Amino acid sequence: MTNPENQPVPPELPALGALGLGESLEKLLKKPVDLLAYLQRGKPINIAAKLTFSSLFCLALFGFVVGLFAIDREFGMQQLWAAPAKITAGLLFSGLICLPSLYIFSCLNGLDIRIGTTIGVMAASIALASLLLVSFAPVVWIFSQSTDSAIFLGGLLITFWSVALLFVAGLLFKARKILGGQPRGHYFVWITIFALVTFQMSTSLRPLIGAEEQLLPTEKKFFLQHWIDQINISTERAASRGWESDERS
Amino acid sequence: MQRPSIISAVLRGDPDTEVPVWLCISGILLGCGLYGFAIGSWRAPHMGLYVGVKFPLLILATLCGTGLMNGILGQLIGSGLSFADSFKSQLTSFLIFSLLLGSLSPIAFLLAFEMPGWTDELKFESYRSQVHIHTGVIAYAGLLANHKLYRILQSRIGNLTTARQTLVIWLAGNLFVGAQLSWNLRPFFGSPYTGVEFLRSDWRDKTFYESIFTSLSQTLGLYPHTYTSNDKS
Repeated sequence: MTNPENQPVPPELPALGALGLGESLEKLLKKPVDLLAYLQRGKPINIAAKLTFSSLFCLALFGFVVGLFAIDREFGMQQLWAAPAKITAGLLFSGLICLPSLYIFSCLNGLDIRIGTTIGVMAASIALASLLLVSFAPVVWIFSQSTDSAIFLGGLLITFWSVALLFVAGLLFKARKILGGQPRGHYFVWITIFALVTFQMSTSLRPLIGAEEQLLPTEKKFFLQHWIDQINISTERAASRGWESDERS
Repeated sequence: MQRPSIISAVLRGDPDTEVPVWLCISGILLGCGLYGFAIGSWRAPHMGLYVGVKFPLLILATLCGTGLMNGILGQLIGSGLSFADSFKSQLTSFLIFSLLLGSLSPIAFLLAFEMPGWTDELKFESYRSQVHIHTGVIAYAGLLANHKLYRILQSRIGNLTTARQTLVIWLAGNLFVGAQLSWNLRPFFGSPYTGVEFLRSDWRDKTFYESIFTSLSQTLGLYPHTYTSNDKS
């Protein structure tokens, strides 16, 4: 590994050994720097596989909670399995298609990184986001049972996802430090691209919230257009309900 | 493994890395080819194939077209770079550009697949959005590649002022020739106004700069506006 004098020196690396799933998750939350050192010096694919397993579980659980929102509606029962499947597959597919650019942006950031380590960093990022989403799941459930507004719940989920992405960005910036990168803005650009891809994926796999007869959309839409359309529909409904209640009072 | 470490070193901006010419050309063919295929595939699969061939061709033709001129100009302003050095430096810069685009090509495929298609009611909006997005991405990749080229020149020339002058002159030459070649090799984005074709039937009728002049003259009211195929790029 090249480490020119002008680059920050990574902290002393912990002794390498077999890292179990529990240990990996604990390090991801408490000592991400140690986990990144393992990914650089240990067996990154092994750790990535464990972290991906944890992501599958967490995303499925989170998806199930999201699916509960539609349980009282027509075709709502299918959301109990469709929402977890779509959220899990969508996020993992987003990670997969953003993996080549993560490697290229890491190298542009000055990191002497292997492809295996890049896979590990991607798996750690998705695992961190998944853990955060699961921690938000009880809050999502409370709100999903308190409102009929898909727009409100959608906004809440986007907010939670944005918070998770902020933590993922933090992890990437730590990775840049420990793997000997330069303080450049390439990771900021990459996280923006990743966020846009995940937002588009949520539109491509709609409905995630609410329920429809069709499991997948027949119409292609850009995510911003979809959000604007949904807000317009919701506003029209709210206006008509307001008029009805005025009539009844 | 030798190849990934060379690519990684090039992307990190290590100026002492010697990249074999065959690796640069392969990288350009693969990276720009994939991204070009993704751009064209929105319109039709064979349009994807056309653009997948034309995009790397545009890059390599620009490099060949300006190689001699840039080499001579570089020597005239005192860069001290040989023809081979200047050619390799530019080739390396185009390799970085191509690798970045290639790495983003899965996302470009997603975009082509997910945007309303050319038979959809929203095809014009979709087309315009894609033109803006791809232009932005290509401009970003070009900026990064030129930043890396500047660092390579700094290291090889040693004098910052001369390195900057060399970069500016090379950039001007590449932009001048590249704009014309991209005009000749249209269509790239597969406009819904026109059919799918490898090259326009009028690909040699006018230069890019004449077209700009005509367009400006029409805007300023010097000519009446007439609708031509050039409006449909």
